Amino acid sequence: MEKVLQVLNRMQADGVIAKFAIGGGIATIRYLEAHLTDDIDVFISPVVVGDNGLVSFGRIYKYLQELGYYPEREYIKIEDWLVQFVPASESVQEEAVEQADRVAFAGVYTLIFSAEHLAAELLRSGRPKDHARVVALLESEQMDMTAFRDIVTRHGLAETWKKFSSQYDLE
Amino acid sequence: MSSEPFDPNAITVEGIFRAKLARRQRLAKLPFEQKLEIVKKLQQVPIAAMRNEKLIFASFLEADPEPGDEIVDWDVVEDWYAKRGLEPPAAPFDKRPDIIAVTKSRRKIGVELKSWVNREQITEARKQERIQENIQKALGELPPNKTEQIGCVWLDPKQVRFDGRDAAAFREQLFQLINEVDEEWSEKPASRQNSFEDRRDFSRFSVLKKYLKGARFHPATRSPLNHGWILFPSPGGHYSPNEMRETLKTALLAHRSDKKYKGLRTNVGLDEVYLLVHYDFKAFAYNTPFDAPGFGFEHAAEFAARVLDDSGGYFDRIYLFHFLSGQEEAYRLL
Repeated sequence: MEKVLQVLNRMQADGVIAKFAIGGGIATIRYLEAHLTDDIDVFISPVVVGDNGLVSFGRIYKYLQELGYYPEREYIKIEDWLVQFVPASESVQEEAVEQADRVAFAGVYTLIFSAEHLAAELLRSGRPKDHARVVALLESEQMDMTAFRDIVTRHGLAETWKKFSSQYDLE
Repeated sequence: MSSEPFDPNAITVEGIFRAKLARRQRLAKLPFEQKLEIVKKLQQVPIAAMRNEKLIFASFLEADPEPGDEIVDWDVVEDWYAKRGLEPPAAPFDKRPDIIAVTKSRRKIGVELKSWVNREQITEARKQERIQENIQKALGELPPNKTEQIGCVWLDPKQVRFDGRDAAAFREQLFQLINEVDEEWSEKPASRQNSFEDRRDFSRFSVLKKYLKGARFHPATRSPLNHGWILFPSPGGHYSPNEMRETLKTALLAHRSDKKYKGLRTNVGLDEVYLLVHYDFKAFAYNTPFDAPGFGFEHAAEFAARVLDDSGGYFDRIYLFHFLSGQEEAYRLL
């Protein structure tokens, strides 16, 4: 894992990506118990759009290939981890990258979504497993609920949160 | 694990859930590095096998062969250690048995899962499937059945590898043969026109001869098949259920005295070790049936219990489980 973090930091230092933060399953594991996850979701910001109007990963792929890391399906394999670069296209993702926590892992610093941003993003994406994790994050009592409610309100998720909290009898 | 004295009579459902939550909270507090080590361990487990074991055991519990000291917590072995942040015993006992469970009275049970299958039959059936797939690929998309007399054609392939370079010639010769049979059909005596015709002499069709033992032409007496009218008959004919019973007998006797289970109880710290033999989709799909009129799964279990003759070898209990959706049945053999 530390090798992946070193590569991400190097990509940032070399200007291949501007800002990044780890979200998804790995971020969840920072706050909850470990569970099986196949990949590392690296959210990148700003989103680079190519001439064809599609999100451009060309520079990232080219840079990593030169380091000997090649695509595998939608991922790039860096050492023994599958890494997926996800454009932070939603405002809540963008803010999650912007305000990510700086965390040391085996002596290497990296950026990981805060528990509040992670819960808001999971609430937004809305798959059953995401919602289960929102409940687990709330139960973990690691979240600043005022900050979370503020994120939810500012990113247009207030109605989703209202329904969710009423469904799970949370507030 | 709590250091308070455990009173099995005081356990409540609420207590079980509280304990689960406490465990999750404790695991959540592990250092991030340690949690990612757990993730790496989980990634190394053959997931398909693990999921299958989970499905089988969950279904077995639902079949509830023996209500009583019910199982309140369980996992496949890799998850048992990884999820709980426990240090597994030294190899090879770190991966044995397949399932670790705890009962309501806090007894720690190990369950080894074994499949009741005839592997030789499966190998043979799969080989046959591959040959059929290759021939189907060679035939490509079938044209509609334009014959006048033939309803469908059954092919009986030889056990040989299909060389892709023969595909075009195979297709051409097969349709040539079908046309010939169709044209000659009306010349047959009327009494034979309503029954099938077998062709086994392919001396004029060198490529068919290479790949086919025979072909059976069925008359178009009923509504003819237009799609999939060239096919392979299902393996059928006579079979003996004794073959599968013999497979079960051999497997039970071999498993109960398999030396790899020696010391399992002490090395893993189990109170009891169970063997769960299951009959699953693989056996259903590829093996000859075990059942016969008047002989169902319950009778197979009685037969198996007689085979064991009250001796489980390294196992304290042995179960036989029918793991097919909607047909779940489980029996304790000893």
